[in-house]
Amino acid sequence: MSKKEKLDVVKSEAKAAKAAKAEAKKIKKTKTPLSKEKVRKMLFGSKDDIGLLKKLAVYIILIGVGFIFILPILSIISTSFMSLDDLLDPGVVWFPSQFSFKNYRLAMDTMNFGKSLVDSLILSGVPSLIQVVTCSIVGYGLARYNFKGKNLIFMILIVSFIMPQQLTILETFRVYNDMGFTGTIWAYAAPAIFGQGIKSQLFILICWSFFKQIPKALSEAAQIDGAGHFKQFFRIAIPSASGALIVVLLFSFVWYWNEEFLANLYFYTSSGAMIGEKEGYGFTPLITQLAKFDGQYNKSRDANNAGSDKPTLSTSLSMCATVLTIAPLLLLYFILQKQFVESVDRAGITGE
Amino acid sequence: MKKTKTDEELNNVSNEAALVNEAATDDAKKKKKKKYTVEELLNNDDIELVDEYGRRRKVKVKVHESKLTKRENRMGYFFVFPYIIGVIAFLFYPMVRTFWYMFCRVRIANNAIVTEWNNFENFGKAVSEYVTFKTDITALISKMISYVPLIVVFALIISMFLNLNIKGKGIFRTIFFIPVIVTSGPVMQDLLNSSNSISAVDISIITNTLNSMLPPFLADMLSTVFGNIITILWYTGVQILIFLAAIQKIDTSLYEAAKIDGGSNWECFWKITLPTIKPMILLNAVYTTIFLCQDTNNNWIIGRITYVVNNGVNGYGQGSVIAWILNVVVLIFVGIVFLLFKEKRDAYAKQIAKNKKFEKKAKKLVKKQAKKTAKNAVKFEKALQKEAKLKAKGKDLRGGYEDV
Repeated sequence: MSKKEKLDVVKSEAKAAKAAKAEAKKIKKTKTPLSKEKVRKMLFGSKDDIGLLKKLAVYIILIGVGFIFILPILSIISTSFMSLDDLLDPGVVWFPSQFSFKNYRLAMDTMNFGKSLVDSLILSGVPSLIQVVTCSIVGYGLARYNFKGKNLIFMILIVSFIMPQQLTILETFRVYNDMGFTGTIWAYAAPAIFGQGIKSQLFILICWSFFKQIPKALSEAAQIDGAGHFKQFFRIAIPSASGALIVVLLFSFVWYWNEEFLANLYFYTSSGAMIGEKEGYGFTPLITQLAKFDGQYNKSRDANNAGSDKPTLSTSLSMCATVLTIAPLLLLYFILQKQFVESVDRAGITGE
Repeated sequence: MKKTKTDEELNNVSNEAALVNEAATDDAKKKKKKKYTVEELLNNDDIELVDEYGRRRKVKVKVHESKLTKRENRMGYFFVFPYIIGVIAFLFYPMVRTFWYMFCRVRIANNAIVTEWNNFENFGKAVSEYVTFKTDITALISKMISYVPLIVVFALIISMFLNLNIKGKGIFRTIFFIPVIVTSGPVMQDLLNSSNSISAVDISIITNTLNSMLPPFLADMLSTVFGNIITILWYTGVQILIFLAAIQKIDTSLYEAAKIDGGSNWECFWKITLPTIKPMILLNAVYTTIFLCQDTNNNWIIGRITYVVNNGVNGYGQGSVIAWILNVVVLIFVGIVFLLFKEKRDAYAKQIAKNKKFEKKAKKLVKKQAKKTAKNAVKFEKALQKEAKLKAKGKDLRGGYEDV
């Protein structure tokens, strides 16, 4: 067979195949019209796949619920931009007639925003870092070693997590007061150093479940190569548990940021004045500034001779303060969204 | 020979013994526990490792840790040391002190705290001066009863939806998690204050119908639920993610097998999904309970404690009393939740336990019978002896006992 003949054969075969394909297509097209059965399957679903209608329903529910979830935040933001006239106008529901930033300026002035932001960053950043260190150390100790009384420690962890903190705060507050911790960062940092900060128990358990997953062979191999306990901890455990540490850091940061009860207790006297002011520096975290916003605004307005230039307190002003307080957190969340959302997967709460 | 065994060998053996340990079920627990060393286990043939049902019996093993591992494990204390100090200084000490304050008149003199025993006065005062004590406690309990199941069920439903094959999962997850980041006392307060746009639904109709139809306690509970529906939804962020993570980890081959056997989605949910994520339901219920109890917006008792300590007469004593009451309530509630969702024994173990019980009963019966027969035999013997004696005396027996 010459080359040409071969080519011909191949060509004809290809042609035949194409024709057959076309035929098959035709047959398929003609033989399976949009039957009732198929439509039913498409709409109501089969055993393998939920149908279009069900999917639509699920989407509607999810979007509705999701809307409910962000509705309050949206309403806060939109209200914060409204002027007084817009607030009273029933026609204005979502979009203010004009975005007024005057409210924000006033709110920032009242909250002393720059200083409070820095305070908040310090008051939530420093204890969080400490918590990462302590909780990882304790979690590693619980995961790696089998010592007597380990179960007792677990029991204490869980029970102390369940108990309301008010039980101990009565006394700890008094002790801090004696020791001069109140009004300083030590009020937050001291318990965090010893694993008793905000939700430390949870963080210790997260670290524990993470370190537990590290295969023992790794540390044994390191041991044979002459690594001591600390080298094993720093060189093997910490690098492989970076995910857990990020979870601890982020959540600790958020929870310290949102902690109003303790901040109010430790950094203000019962009459509302700052404790540390006498010593030179009083912390005013944003969250307490927000809680005291209404009172402070009215005070400053009164001091300003019956408010020559300041308008009366309105919802939009309070909303401004709220937005200012949660904006840094939201920013953090949208930047590190993945870390937050996957934290639950990563923390190994659900068990492997 | 025994002494020459290396540590590693012993460790291996102990591992095996531990496996034996694990495989055994819990009903053997009731039997007398005796700890055996590994060597005893190896050399003693009398120790039964298998019970009458052919299953491995739980045997407690004294594990001989080598000196090296012992020394190593002592390092654990070093790592846990900060926490132990923390527990003593920041948990036990304050708890003991507040416990003591409950029975004392506490006053502060010269920057030092002075306590005087005052015979349970604080208890009466704390309750009698706290005017809304009853309503606050019932509000807390009714809130927990109504919120916790609602939150858990809602989170479960949403996570089931998110687990379906739909687009935009990530966006939904992101949205559902926002409240976790933002929620805090003052922010929630502001949300509730600006309710003009949030609770757009007029719930007065619902409340009225509920009031006319149900007993007041239930009606109150339900109307608070309807009134705070958005706040309740806002508390479900973490729970949704926990459920979702758990559901995604279920082995898909289970569903495939069920579908081949003709199971519907509905059946799959009840028979596969729900039993598998049961521990997560417990976790979520407990987490929700704790969260609600520590939230100052829901739990007004917390606010009362602060108020009493700052303003009340003998505030420390009363504050400690209220704090301890709150603690007990919370612990009881968590305990109930725990008991409700605790892992139950599976049907097989149940059956075995039942059989064993039955067997025990039967054995008891047999024993009783045997005792009875033995007693009867003794009686019979005595009677015979008596008879013989009487016969020897030559008395008439008036019966058909004689065989001579």
